[in-house]
Amino acid sequence: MAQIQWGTKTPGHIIYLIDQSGSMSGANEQKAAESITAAMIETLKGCIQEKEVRNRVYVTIIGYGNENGVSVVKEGWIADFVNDLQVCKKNNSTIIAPKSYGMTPMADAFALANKCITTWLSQRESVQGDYKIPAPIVINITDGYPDDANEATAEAQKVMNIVTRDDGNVLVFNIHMDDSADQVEIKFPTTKSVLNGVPEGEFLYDISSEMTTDFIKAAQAQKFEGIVPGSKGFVVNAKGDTLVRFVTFGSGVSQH
Amino acid sequence: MELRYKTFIMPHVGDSYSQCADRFAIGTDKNCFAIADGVGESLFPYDWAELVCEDFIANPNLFCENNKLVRENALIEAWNQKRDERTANLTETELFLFEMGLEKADFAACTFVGLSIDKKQWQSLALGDSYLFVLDKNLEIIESVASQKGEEFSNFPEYFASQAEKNHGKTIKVCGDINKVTYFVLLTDAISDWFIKVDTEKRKELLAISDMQSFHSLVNKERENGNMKDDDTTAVIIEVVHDDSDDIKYTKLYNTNINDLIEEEEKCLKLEDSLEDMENDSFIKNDTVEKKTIIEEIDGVNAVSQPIELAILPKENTDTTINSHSITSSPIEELTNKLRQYIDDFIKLGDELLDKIDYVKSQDTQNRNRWDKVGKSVKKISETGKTIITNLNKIKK
Repeated sequence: MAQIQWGTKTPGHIIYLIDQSGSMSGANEQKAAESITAAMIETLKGCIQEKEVRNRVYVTIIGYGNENGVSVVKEGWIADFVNDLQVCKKNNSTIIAPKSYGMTPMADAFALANKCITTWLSQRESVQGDYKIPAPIVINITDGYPDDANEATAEAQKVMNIVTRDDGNVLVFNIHMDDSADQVEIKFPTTKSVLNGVPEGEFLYDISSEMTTDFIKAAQAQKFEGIVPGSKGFVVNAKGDTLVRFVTFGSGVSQH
Repeated sequence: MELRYKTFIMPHVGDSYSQCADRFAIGTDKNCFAIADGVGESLFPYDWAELVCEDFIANPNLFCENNKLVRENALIEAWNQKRDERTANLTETELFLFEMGLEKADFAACTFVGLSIDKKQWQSLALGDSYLFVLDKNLEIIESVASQKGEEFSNFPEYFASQAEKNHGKTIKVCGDINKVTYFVLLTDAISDWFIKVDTEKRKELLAISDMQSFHSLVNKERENGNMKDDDTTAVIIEVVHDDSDDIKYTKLYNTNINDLIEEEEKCLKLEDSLEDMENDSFIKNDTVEKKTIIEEIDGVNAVSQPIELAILPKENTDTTINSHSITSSPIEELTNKLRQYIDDFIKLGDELLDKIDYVKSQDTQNRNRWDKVGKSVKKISETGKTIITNLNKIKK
């Protein structure tokens, strides 16, 4: 599924989960914030018609591991972020402040995402009438292993198991950041065997949605290579450029 | 030979006609027809689509050479002018958005298919995934003309662009014997895709459509069933009736004018804005008597009509028939005349729009309840307006 094109009558919902734990300190926290900013700018561009913004996308950014534990950092229609993004473009700043502190409560982040999605779907069902409701997309950006992998897997799978009224299951994409030169990027794997026992990879494999036919075409159009039916929507050991491209791709895949 | 034509257009779900990027043109003096689908991701595609269609019907035989529009420079200049008009006086935020949009595309683009006819043959030129279908008397497709076909339906079509170097793809030219033709059908991509896939019975359904209401019903049904992609959708259907005459005669069975539709839509929006303004008008809500009654009236809570005009005068003048002597006659006349004119115009516009709202309600099924509510509000306001006029007429001079 996930075939419904996002539009003003059929708006999409993107939920970014951003790891803000202590291990993200340094370049990673900055890159993660930049990737979300870049993706939101591209999302905004996709919603611009001449000089107006059309509310085709609702965005929720959830941070986990910062001094607040897990919280919604920002939330709103893409049009609500125009002024902020204008400032980001002008000052080369980021839509959320880069942060890194504490543990990695990814399970709680998925649980909060679940709540946000459920609320969103319920609200849309009440206001959209017969218009179809697209499947929300969750993009999780992390550099490591969660505090409790079993719990995180369970919570993430609860999100993946949310079935929308019209467009199949909620989709979860994951990106694991690692800029080390000796760590090879593994993109859109079809089996766990290609992950060479990387624990973060195996964990994320289990909580990533399979790419739909439409997504595969869209990814191929954006020059991502090696994507075939059965590929999972995640990348391990992503470098800076891949991070931005993947987050932007995941954010805009249903826009056109 | 007689050509009986009808034209229909419908925007993407949730879009207004002003956002619809499809255009078509009919040139009966030069026996030609054109249809263009502005590429959604480009800039002001509807203006470009319109210019290209109009250019074809003005010069069908000298329209395009070597994949290039013959009057490309003039068309680009005309589009630039329209763009400049549309972007004059932008606010800072609008300018930011416009410039962001330019990063996506700073030019307009459209797919195209044109058809010209003479007594012996037809000729067509196409670029992109807009189609001409040529049907015989059994309604079988004997020719289909498009430069991109089948699997090539995509968001990246071939097109004419408002920047010469951005033209994309190669045009295709096809001609044929007019005597074999019973129908020409020009369609933009989504409905073309559908037309290719469906059986003859479904095609008959489209060919038999006689008004916009039926067209909207068919498209809505096919979209809802997942048989037709949700996109701007346009159809120009021409039935060829062969006879012994040497002339080509035209019968307009149904013609849609997109600019009229946009104008009507703007009127509707204006009316909605007026209704909202009335509901929010502090003049009505503040410092006047019967505040609660009036607000209830406007909100439709109180079905019993209350004299809304009481609120329009200051508190001391609530009973106008009694207190009018305390005001000089000139301001009263001025006020009553202005009120009468304002309300008359409003009632007239409301009555005109009620029919249109009924029609839109029947088409826009997803918003039926909302349109119903809008219609009821307009009716209520019209009725209240009539009460105002009655009461104004009672004011002693």
